[in-house]
Amino acid sequence: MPTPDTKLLQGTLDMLILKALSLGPLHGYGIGQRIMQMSDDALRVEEGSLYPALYRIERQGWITAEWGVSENNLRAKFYKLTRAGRKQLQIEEENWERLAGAVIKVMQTN
Amino acid sequence: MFWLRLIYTRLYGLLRKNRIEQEMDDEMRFHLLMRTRENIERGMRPDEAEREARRRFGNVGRIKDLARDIKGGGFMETLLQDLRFGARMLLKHKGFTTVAALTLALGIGANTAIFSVVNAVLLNPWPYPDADQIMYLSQYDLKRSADTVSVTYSNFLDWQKQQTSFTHLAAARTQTFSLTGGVEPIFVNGAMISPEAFPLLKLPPHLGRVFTEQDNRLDSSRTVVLSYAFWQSRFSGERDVIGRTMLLDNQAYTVIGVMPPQFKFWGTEIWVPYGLFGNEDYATSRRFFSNTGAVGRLKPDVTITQARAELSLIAARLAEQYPDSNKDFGAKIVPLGEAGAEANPNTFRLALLELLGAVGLVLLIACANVANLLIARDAGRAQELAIRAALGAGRARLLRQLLLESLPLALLGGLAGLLLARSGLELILKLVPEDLIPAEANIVINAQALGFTLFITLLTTLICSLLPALRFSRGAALEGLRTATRPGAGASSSQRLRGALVILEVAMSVVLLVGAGLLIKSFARLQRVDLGFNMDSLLTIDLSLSSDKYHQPQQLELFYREALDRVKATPGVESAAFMNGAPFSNFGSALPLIREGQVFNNLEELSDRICRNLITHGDAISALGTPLILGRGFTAQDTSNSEPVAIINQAAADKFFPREYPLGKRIKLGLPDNLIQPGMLPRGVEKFSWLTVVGIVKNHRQLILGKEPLEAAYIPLTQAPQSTLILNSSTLLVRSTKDPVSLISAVRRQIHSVDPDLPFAKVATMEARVYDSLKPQRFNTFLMGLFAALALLLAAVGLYGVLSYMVAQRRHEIGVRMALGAQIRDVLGLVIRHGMTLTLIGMGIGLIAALGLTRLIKDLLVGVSATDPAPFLVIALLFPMVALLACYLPARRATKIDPMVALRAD
Repeated sequence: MPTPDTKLLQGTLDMLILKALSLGPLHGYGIGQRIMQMSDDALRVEEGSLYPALYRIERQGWITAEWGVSENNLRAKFYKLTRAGRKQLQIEEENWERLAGAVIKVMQTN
Repeated sequence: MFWLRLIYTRLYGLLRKNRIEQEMDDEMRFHLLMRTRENIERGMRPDEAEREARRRFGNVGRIKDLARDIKGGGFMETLLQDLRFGARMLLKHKGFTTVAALTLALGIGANTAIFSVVNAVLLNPWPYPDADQIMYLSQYDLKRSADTVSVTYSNFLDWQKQQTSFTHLAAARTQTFSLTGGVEPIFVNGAMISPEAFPLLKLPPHLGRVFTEQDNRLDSSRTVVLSYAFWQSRFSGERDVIGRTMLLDNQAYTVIGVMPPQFKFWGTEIWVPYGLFGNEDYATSRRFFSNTGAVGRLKPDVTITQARAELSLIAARLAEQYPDSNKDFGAKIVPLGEAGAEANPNTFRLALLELLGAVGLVLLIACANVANLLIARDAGRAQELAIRAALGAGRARLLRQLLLESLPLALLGGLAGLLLARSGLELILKLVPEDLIPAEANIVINAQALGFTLFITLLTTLICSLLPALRFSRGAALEGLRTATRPGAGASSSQRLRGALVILEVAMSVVLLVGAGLLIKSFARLQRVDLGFNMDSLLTIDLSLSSDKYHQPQQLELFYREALDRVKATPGVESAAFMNGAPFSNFGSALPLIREGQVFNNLEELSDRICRNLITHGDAISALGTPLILGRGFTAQDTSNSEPVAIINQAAADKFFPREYPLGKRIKLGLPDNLIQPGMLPRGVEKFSWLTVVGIVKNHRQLILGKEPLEAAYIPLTQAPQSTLILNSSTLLVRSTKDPVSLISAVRRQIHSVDPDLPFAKVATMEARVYDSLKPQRFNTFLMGLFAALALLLAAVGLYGVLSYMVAQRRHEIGVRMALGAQIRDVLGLVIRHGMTLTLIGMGIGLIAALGLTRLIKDLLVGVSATDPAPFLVIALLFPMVALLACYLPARRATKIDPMVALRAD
């Protein structure tokens, strides 16, 4: 039975991955890099969380993977957002905004 | 569908594990490579860059573990893991494994054995293809629908001609033959059947051919088909038996075929065409019922209701055509399986169901015991499981783990159970009353029984593993985490669960014990029943004289007279007599008893005056040892020329001569002259003569010890209706001055000196016949007693186990109590009080449940009510004593606890 905070954490990482992939297919390493870029180096994704998260999301059917060639001509596994994944991203963004808004409100009232 | 796909993808995952592993490796290697390059671009040395990348990536193995769990394939892997773990635990705890597997084996073995009997006798007794289409047909009196009689052959032939509902309709009638031509004449159990029986039953012959219409005429050359067993025993399975000749009742029959082993139609050894006997009384009369049975195979598109409607129409038509014989007679159609159940008001069926219920309870008790053992064994693992639950392993995952871990144990128990069932079945086969089961029933452990074993093995796995898992429901995980950190401190919920299991075990075993107690009391009562005659030192021989050789009553009389004279002259013989309708023999007939002066205008008025007709030659009263109450027995002066006489039994005197003195009164056994119609009586009998009652004898039991004796009248053979049909079968009663078995060969020689071709249908002491008559009850009582004893043992072991565990868990507390001055008596009391509380609660529940449940077996009890207090009282007194013993052993161990050691251990 996952506790609420781990759920939030896990959900957040999933959302970030989906967001990163919304701009185009990427390999695992690239996803980590993209999230770092998008957050101005504020968020660093641990490999230990990244790959399990990728496999989990893949099983959910939100992303698919296929082998391709990387920018430096190496064989790499590329992940791509599916239609379901795009929808999920939208839902998560809305949820996140609501949550973030609420948190901000709480912080302000304090 | 969904499950199928899931299983497929997971299996696929397992098979393609290497590929997935490979891909994960590749993906991670790529990641490391990219990180290393980036590090080098930032100015690190290559080796430093790679080390940093690895450090940052973390534990590859752990990530892969997690990934595997997510990616499928994980299911099959953890499955194998759990199974392996379960098997390892079995090897580690050998004592536990032995006790638990043995317990399960007892439960599973008993269930498999009893199921095999139920399956062979009740569920699938017929080996014939599409057996559910085969129907049993009989006639019944429309005014008394409960009375079914077998069909007459003439009516059968009309049914066969007129019906369209059945593909085939076949008649069959038991007929015994004497097979001569060998060293000794042999008695053969045969049946005359219609040729249609073979295509109807759809089993082709093993050798040769079966009857055709050409073999079924009065003037056809005589042919015979052999059963597989008869072929093996008489002809040693020689293939050239076809075409050979057999002398049956002095007629030559040509062997034309041998049936396969599973073909045991009518339960006989040989079959002959019915049509050869189309001229006999029983075949031509519409009135004279003579054990002809009829079977039919429904056409595939005809329902049983349609067939019933058609046959009713035909029966009505015949009633119009032959009002004398067929008025008010309808046709009855039931599936073959129900025909047997109807033939004997089948208490054996009930007994089997009762035993099935009993072994079901034994299995539940065994499961409760094993669950208890598992809880005790895994007590140390409460912490592990709690931690796993806290870490987020779903409840389903934990349940699955527990389930899979107990599977190897259950499989071990199932396998051992199967071996137990095999030897158990040998014992059961010796006890099983063959007369009450279809001849075709083949009691073996077959595929169905194996499937059943597998099913209950999985069921026990489910019960054994889920009962302990109850502890982890209701968020008990956290409590487990808290309490389990100090083993033995709390575990109260598991202690409660174990207590509940023991209460349940005690209750179930009490129910079984009470049931067994009732059956044992009933059985003991049966054995003490007053037979009404003296069964000691009495040799009995059933004889059937062939109608070909003895076609005149005078010939029969001559044989009986000569044979009796010679037997009586044999040394060691005290007295001897022939008797048709002797106790515990299958012969016998019954007719209405009417008194002089009474007037009857139709047959229905006679229906409640039926009286057994015991035809005797010689002084049967003294040979049987039935006490004469009044008047005289038969003498040599009672001949065909003297005044006809009869001796009636007490029951007949009470019923037909209430408050009157029967001696000297005249009676008739049969029909009054005004009701006799042409063709109604067998050849040789025109009317029945008046008999003077000269004596009254004590009642005797006839075939079933538990059945009250019927009204009966003894008549000398010379004065009885002169029909060979009744007179040709008889039991020779020989009262001896020494062991009756020692007389057998001498008596046999004497009989054969009169008729060397006469086979003996059955030779046995009366004691053995009475013993055999109790076979159904012995079967039931013995097995029920066995299962109840098993239940008691298991419940006692369960109680012992729980208390031992409790003592181990509470060592510390007991140690403190002793250190504070508690006496041995107090410690004993503490443990025993706990055990006896569980016992008494369980007993209370069990006794109340038994009070309601024993009603189910009331039809199996003779002379004992289902709520007879004796078994209840005995169990209520005996059970606590056994429980006390089971409590005392762990209690004594508790007193041996050294306070110092117990305290230090903490």
